[in-house]
Amino acid sequence: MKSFFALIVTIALVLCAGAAVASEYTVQKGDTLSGIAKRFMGSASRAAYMSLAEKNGIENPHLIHPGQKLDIPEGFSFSESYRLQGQIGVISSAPAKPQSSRQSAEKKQEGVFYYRYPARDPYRGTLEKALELLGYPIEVRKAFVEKVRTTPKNKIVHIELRKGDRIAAMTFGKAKVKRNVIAAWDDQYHLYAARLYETEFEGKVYRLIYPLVCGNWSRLEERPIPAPPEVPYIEPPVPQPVPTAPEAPPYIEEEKPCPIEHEPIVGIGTWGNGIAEGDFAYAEYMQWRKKCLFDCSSEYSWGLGAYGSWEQGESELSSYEWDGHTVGPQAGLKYSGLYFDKEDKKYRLQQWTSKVRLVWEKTEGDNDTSGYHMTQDNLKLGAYVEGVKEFDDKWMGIITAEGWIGLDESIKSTWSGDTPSDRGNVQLGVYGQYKINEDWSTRFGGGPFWQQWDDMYGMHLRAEARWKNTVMFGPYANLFPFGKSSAYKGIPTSDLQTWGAFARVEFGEIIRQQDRKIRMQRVKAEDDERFGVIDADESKQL
Amino acid sequence: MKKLSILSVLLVALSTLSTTAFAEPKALPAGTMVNAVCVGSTATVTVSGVAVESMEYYYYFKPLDRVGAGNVYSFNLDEGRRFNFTFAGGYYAGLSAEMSKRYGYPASFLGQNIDIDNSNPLGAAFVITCPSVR
Repeated sequence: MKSFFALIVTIALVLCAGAAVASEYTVQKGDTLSGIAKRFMGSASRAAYMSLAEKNGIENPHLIHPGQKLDIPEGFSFSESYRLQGQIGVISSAPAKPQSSRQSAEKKQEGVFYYRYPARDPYRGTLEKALELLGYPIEVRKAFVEKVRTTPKNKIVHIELRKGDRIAAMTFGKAKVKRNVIAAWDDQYHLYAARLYETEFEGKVYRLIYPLVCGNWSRLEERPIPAPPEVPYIEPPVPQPVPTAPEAPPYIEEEKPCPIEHEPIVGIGTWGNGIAEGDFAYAEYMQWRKKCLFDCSSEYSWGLGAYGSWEQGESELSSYEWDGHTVGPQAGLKYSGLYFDKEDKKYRLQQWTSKVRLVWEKTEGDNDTSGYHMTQDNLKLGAYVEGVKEFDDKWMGIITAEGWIGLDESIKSTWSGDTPSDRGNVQLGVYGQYKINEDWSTRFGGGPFWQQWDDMYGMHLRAEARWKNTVMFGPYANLFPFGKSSAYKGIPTSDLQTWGAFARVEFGEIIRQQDRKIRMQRVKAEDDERFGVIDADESKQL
Repeated sequence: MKKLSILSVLLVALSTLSTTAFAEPKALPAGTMVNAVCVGSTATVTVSGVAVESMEYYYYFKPLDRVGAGNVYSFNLDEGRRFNFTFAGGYYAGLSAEMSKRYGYPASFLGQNIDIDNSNPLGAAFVITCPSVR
């Protein structure tokens, strides 16, 4: 039994020694800074452990190591950032000595409410009523209501209440208010956190607190708006450069984070085979919003635009003629950037473009000899994907995929047995592009295709000359090496081989160059103003 | 069924969409210094402390120009005054604040008549600060 008491006394002495003023402490395995603060400073609050961290030069209060020596502050010393200015929360450099209840009683003042038991009588009314009870001017009340309701939780400033702090007024219960309140709980080490809201009105800073322990909305004494501190002149900081985009040389590519890129394209063509011949034209427009799909530094663009086409043709075997047109909106997604060519140690272009089109197609067919006439309407969904990759200074590879699918179709015909033809098709292409000089390049290649209306599989081939990536023209062919379908019974396959020519103008490059010229004129003018322009004569004198 | 096959082909084509991650710019080695000496509208830029693999000169009204390895380069200020260079494996000079923070170096490589221009939110470049001559 004696040994038990001895043990108790020893533990008590050790604990008391710890709870008193310890000058140095060696961190043990499993210790946390807040735990040490709680043990030696009586509080595990952020203010307490930050004070401890500050005193010991610890940058990350969540990272301490076993064996690390810590200086324990004598008493409770807050850094300026954690000290509450004014009547409340001014922390003495050493804890006040505990007073006996008699001593406290002797110092009691008239008209003062001693707040001894936090959380015994929490406020239970509305915020508006509390503000009214606390006697704030109406403008201040409105401001506080707004602040309390809109301040994000992580932005709320917290202060700590401790014994001896003075509070101008405090709400209790449903609609009670006490004025001239002094925190008077027994434990001088015990701190209670409170949310602080401040607002300025008529030259004063009004302060409202919400102690978390009790929810008794309270008013602190107003204080004058502090004069701005005299700040010593500091050299303006050197502008911080933004992350370098290695693939996007400054000024050359973009000026604004979200530039708009216009891309109109028009094209015409003609074709013929053993059974028919025809012409076609198309036009499309896309407005690309660069870099802004995910964030403004990405290499993606999204686009909206319109697509339209026209065609006409006539049969070589009969008097049948037809013409048709399509029109509809399109939307697209584009990735445009550079990749690093490790062999040549250069950044090279790579780009993916995808477009989705929804068009209405109307086709009319006539045969003057037989009196046949039909009108067909189709709703078609199409997709186009193009990938471009620069291999070296001369060569570039391109792959394309295009397809259409009919969603809805109807036909009006002089022949009662007529049914609408299916308008779907798929075409894949692989092309190589060779740069001849700065202005001219050539692209050639082809790939398989399938068309739904006559169920024919074939190969298309194309060669095009390209001038400044703006004007393109050349021949093309659709060949059918895989045979023919039943739709062409009795017709030699050779009559189906189709030859044609096309021309296309893509205005995007011209528009980009013009935009860039305008931008760079402005950049040069700004440079001249920023860095100065001096006369040649003046330069010689210098 | 045919519609489905068309749709499948389109989906396969769309699924090939992919991107390649960019090579990062790299921090300049400690001791790197970039200087410019200007005579009239000609600026002679000297890069020391690092072996430059290629220099890119950003003109006002022409496409960018890539010049090969070296340490002394000549620029016409009337044509443009911004540049960047690659070194050690094709990395671009790290001019970003983010990189300087990460690697803990200040912009100590900025010598006489050289500054960093970061007015383009998409990329920074060295800029020669000499006045141009008319």
